[in-house]
Amino acid sequence: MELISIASAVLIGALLVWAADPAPDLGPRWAATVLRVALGASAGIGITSLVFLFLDIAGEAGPLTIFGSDAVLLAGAVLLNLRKPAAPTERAVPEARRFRWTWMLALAFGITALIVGARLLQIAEALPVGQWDAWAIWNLRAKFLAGPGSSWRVAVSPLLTMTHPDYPLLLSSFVARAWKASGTMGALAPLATAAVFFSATIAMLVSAVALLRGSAAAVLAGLVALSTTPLLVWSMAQYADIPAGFYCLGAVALILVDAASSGSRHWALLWAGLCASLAAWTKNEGIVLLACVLVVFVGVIAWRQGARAALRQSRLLFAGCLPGIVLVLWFKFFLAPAVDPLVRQGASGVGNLLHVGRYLEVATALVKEMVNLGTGVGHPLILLAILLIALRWQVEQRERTALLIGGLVVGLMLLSYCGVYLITPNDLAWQLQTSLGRLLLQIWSSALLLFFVVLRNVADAAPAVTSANKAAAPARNKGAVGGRKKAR
Amino acid sequence: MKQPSPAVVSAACAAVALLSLWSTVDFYRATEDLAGSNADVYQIGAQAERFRELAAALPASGIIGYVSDRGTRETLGTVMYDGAQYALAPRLLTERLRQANTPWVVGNFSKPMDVAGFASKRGLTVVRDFGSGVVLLRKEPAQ
Repeated sequence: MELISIASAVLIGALLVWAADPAPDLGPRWAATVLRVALGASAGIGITSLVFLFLDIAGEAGPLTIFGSDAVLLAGAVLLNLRKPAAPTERAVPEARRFRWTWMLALAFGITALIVGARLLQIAEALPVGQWDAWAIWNLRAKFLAGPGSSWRVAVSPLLTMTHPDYPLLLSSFVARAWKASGTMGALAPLATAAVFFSATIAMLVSAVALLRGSAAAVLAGLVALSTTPLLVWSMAQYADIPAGFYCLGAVALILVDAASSGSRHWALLWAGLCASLAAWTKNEGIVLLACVLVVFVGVIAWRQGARAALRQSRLLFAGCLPGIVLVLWFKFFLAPAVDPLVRQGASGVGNLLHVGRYLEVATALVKEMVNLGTGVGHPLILLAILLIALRWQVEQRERTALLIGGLVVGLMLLSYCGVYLITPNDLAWQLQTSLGRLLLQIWSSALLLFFVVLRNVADAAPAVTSANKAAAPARNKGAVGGRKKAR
Repeated sequence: MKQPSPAVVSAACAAVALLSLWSTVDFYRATEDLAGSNADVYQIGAQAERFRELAAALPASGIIGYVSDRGTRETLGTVMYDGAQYALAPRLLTERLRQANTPWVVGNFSKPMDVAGFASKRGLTVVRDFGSGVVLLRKEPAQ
């Protein structure tokens, strides 16, 4: 029953994404399908976890109401698909992206994924309870949410002095949903959830790069991601960092996809906003992401195209962000107490900003964690350096604005982490050692995506400017974020 | 900017593919401990069985008192508390005995000791000793 409830959530999300296709005219087809499934799985998890929480608070959570609400959501998603206008049958794949060795790269990716997958299964079997924060925070709070009667209140109780009752509830709520639906509290639900988020992260990265830069670049991005040792190690730890990283990647990827798409409906921006919302419902860092996505998007578009264009283009993004804003306000002000020492210290943390040594300590830790992203000659930074030196970079005009937005969002996220470390009232060395590596993973896949979009096409021959390319250019520029050129 | 030749592109891609495969082998080696039989270094998985009988004697939910010979300011004490809390959730364990809404108190001890003496100093009585350092205690009625 645990797996059925998880599969049901994934199906609901996938059908909703199919109904509001974020990339209706981009190819290759396999990439569009993979992107929809990855986005759908994570969106479905987010949406159903929220429905469960409301049922729980109302005292109505049980197998019947969980599967009943799933049935209603499924019916609604099917209805939306039936009423959806016919999608274009052609998906454009530019000639300039053809690469004769793509199949060999895909083979290497397949072998790598198999080896990694086998090892992750062994890790899951050896450590079904996950690592420290899994049993001390995320799954513990899931047990409270899955408990009888009003046990859910314990998940936000100030008595949970070591369990951060003010942390957002997406992951705990989704695991609790599976437990409540099955009537057991086994390891399968948190493990399967972790596996879904890890797979979705790789799938989103590969499919987004494929849609934006072609299959060869996509497979290379997947290979670099699978060479990131901490990403693999933490994937089955059952922490919220991998889900938060997925939603960050989703938000950035969908803003880029929207810029590349020539469709008239910018559903990608709605999903980008929803990803930011769900990030805010996953971890406190996600709240920063939500703010960054909204402010940077509106700010950059206003700067490059004017305030009116910014307001017009950000409508769907804002619609996606709205649930996150409402949820965060409700959770932080009405449900969960502010017990985090970082928040409760008031203005005293500002004094820490005057200590030069703290800047040095944070910078040193940052470099150390970058080095820890991999081992030996297969280190992801070495792989990226090889690609950058060999292929160099090429930023397409229509993607500049979206790239600027993505880069600013990721950069601001990194700066916010550093800022929190600078003012933290906790022991800085301990805090850096226990969390910086995981925080970097939250933005790592987004940084990889941006890298591969900036990288020159992986192709047999240099792209020639043909009459067909010229003719296609105006159509591409209809994209919301990519509309800069047209506006001029 | 000069465009790279197809040979350079192919060589770079081949290098990345081979080095990624190498990195995967490294990952396999580096995670031997994590995938081995001693992966659960804090023995959290074993706590469910250790507290199984005690859990049956407790109400299914509510705030239960918690005492231990190891304080939660030290790592071992934190691990013991977190392990017990995870095994006994959705009950909430608290060291603030006055805030517990049931008379029951969970005793979690790291070594054999005089539990009765430990309990009486805190106004508690021993209800049952389940072995392995797991004891059910009860708050004495206020005088």
